Amino acid sequence: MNNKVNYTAVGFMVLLGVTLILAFTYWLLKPSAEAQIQKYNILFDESVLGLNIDAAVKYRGINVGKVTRLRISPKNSEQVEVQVTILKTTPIKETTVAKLTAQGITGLSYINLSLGDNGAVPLRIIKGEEYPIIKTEASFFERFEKSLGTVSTKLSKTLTRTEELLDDENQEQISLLLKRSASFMTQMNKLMSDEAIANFHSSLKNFDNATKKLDEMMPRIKHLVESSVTWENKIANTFASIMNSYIGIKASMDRFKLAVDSGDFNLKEISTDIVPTMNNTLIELQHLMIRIEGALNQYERSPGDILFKQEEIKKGPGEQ
Amino acid sequence: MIRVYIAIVLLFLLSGCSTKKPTVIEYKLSLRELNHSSASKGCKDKSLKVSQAFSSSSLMSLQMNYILDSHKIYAYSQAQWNNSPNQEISSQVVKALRESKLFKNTQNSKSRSKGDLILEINIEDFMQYYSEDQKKSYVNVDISFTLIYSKTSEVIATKSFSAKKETASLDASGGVKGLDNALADVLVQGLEFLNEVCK
Repeated sequence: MNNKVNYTAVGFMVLLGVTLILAFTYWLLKPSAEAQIQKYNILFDESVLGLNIDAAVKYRGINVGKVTRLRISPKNSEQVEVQVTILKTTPIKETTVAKLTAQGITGLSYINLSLGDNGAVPLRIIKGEEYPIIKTEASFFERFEKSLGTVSTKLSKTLTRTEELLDDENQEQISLLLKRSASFMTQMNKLMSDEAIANFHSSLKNFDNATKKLDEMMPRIKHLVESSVTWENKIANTFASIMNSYIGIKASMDRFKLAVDSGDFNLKEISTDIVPTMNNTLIELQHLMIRIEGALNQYERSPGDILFKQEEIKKGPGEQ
Repeated sequence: MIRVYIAIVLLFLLSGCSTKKPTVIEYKLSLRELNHSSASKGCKDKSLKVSQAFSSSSLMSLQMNYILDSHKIYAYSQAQWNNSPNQEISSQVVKALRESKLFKNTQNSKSRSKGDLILEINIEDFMQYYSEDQKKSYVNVDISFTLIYSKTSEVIATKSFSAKKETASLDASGGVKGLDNALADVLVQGLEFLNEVCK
């Protein structure tokens, strides 16, 4: 057996083998163009319940990355810092917004990136930050919760106001209002009864008839007005005549007044003499009338006394 | 013939003149002196006019009536008033008031003057009464006075007075004397009333 070893060839082969191993390793470890990724931070103000490490990051429904780290923000304990790795080919811009989205009924969540403005500037690293920070918007549940809170607050206010509105006093007022409304409706019902409507129709017919009659009367009224003008003229003439008479009487009265003022007719002086005399005469006349009445009574009792004194004279007590 | 008719008619007419009538005695009231003293001076500055008395027409005639048995009215045939009782009573009231000097002056209804006050007299009764058997007789006088302000016609006071007197004799003369006394009593009452009103 030929025990002769070619050590050069062995060495060459070893070196070749090592080189190939290194080349293979390099080939394995060399990142491909598609595998080039970019890390981003997302700061959520809400709970990230259901979001796990390696949860998907989707851009318009396409998986473009995954969650690589979850932690409470060291700068603000109220926020959750989610680190995601996204393919560099994904157009993350300043207007891009991340939203936590539920994945069916499993309770798991993923991050959905919404479309930003196509002309917007690509997202850049803010000074002092390690990675670019993608803006967030409230998830459906967050908005629903907020809305629910708002609705609850408004509902509570509504209930409070309803309670205030329905206090005892207002209930009494409402009750009274309802009673009056019922009474009003009853009255309206009565008012709008068939009989009332029939009466209303009848009234309208009467009104129509009256209007027709009025139309018929208008020519007569016109004639009456014309006649009235003639009558007014006659009345005016009469009044003029009366006025002339009045003027004549006034002239006479003025003359009479002048006569009275001059002392020709002093009524007071005249009456001073006449009235007492008249008064006394009337008294005497009264006595005369009484005596005549007595005589008449006597002759009524005994008419024959006119010629002969026939009535028997009754003598009074003590008379002979 | 005509002369005969005229003679017959005249005979008929003049035959009444031949009827004999008994002698008629005329009476007038003659009141005794009234015992009254007026102390009040409230009406001293006022004049009074006494109006004509109101009465029934029988008291305005000269006939002297009497009542028998409360209902039957007869007239004396031999006695009558010189003046009607109405005029006579008015005159007596005026006379009494002048003598009392309650007022500044007192005038009767015929006076031309206007008084501050007016006294109205209403004669309710002024009559002689006989019992049915004519054995008893009395007189009754019932008069009311009403004092009035002449300017306003407002009644100041009013009151009725009456007096009843037995007659001294059962005839007209006794009746007239009884009426004298009764009227005097009534006038005294009236003066006292006016005296009170004028205080």
